[in-house]
Amino acid sequence: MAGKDLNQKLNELISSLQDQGILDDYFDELKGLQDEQSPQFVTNTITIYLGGADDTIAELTKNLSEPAVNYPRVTYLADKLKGSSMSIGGARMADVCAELCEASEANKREACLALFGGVNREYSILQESLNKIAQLEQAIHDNEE
Amino acid sequence: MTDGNANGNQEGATTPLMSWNNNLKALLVDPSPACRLIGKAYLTAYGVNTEAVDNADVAIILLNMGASFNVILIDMHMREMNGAQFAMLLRSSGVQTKLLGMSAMFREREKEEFLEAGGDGFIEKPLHPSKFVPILQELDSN
Repeated sequence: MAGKDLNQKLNELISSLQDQGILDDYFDELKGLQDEQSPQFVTNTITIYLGGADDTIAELTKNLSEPAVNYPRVTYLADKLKGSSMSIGGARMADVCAELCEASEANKREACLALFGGVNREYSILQESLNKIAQLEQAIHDNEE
Repeated sequence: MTDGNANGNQEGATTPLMSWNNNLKALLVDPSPACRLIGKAYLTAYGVNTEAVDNADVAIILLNMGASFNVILIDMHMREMNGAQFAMLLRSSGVQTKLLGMSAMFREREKEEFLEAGGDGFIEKPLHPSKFVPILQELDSN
């Protein structure tokens, strides 16, 4: 019974996040990769994504605070963050990373700073959402053992 | 039918979503840990024996050690060099493996440079079966 409630909660949460555009359909496909061989694939992927994103954002923060911005480096980091966000279904996050990438390629400092603010905001929302998913996934996994 | 991932290969092994005539092997080169994890999971789920590394240098070491692959998937933005530079390096070293470029930001010029450098194809991230299965089918038929 508890397991059914948890699964329902998880499905409702994912649907809600998809309705808000925070996650896209790609997240469902990612979930489809979880099986008996990899019962915690989703949780593990979330952990790895968030760890990588934290590091990338820290490096972006450092680069964008320099008097002379290293735009090729910022472009590389924004591209990397976009790719990993797309891979986990983080649609809104991927979109704002793409905008940051374009601004960096054009060497537009003010636009980069404004968009990086957007990256931080979207990441905060995505991070919270993915952590909620991971908690429910873990509870479902623990319930099944 | 492949021999590598069929039932009985390992107790509890999941049956791949697709089967192949040949034992297909892929090398995924991507600096993003999440992209490597997900990309490898997808390819493995589709019956492709996959190695995932985070940079071109490690890929070159593997190839120099004699590892062989049917396809090498290359992110356009690696730390040491871009995808086109890596393709050129591989081709000049005699590597004839199919090279597939991947990018999160589609740029026509980047694609052209990669193909001119010896790349065989180019896909936009995220990696998805609809993008890689046709390429694998083509490889498997050769």
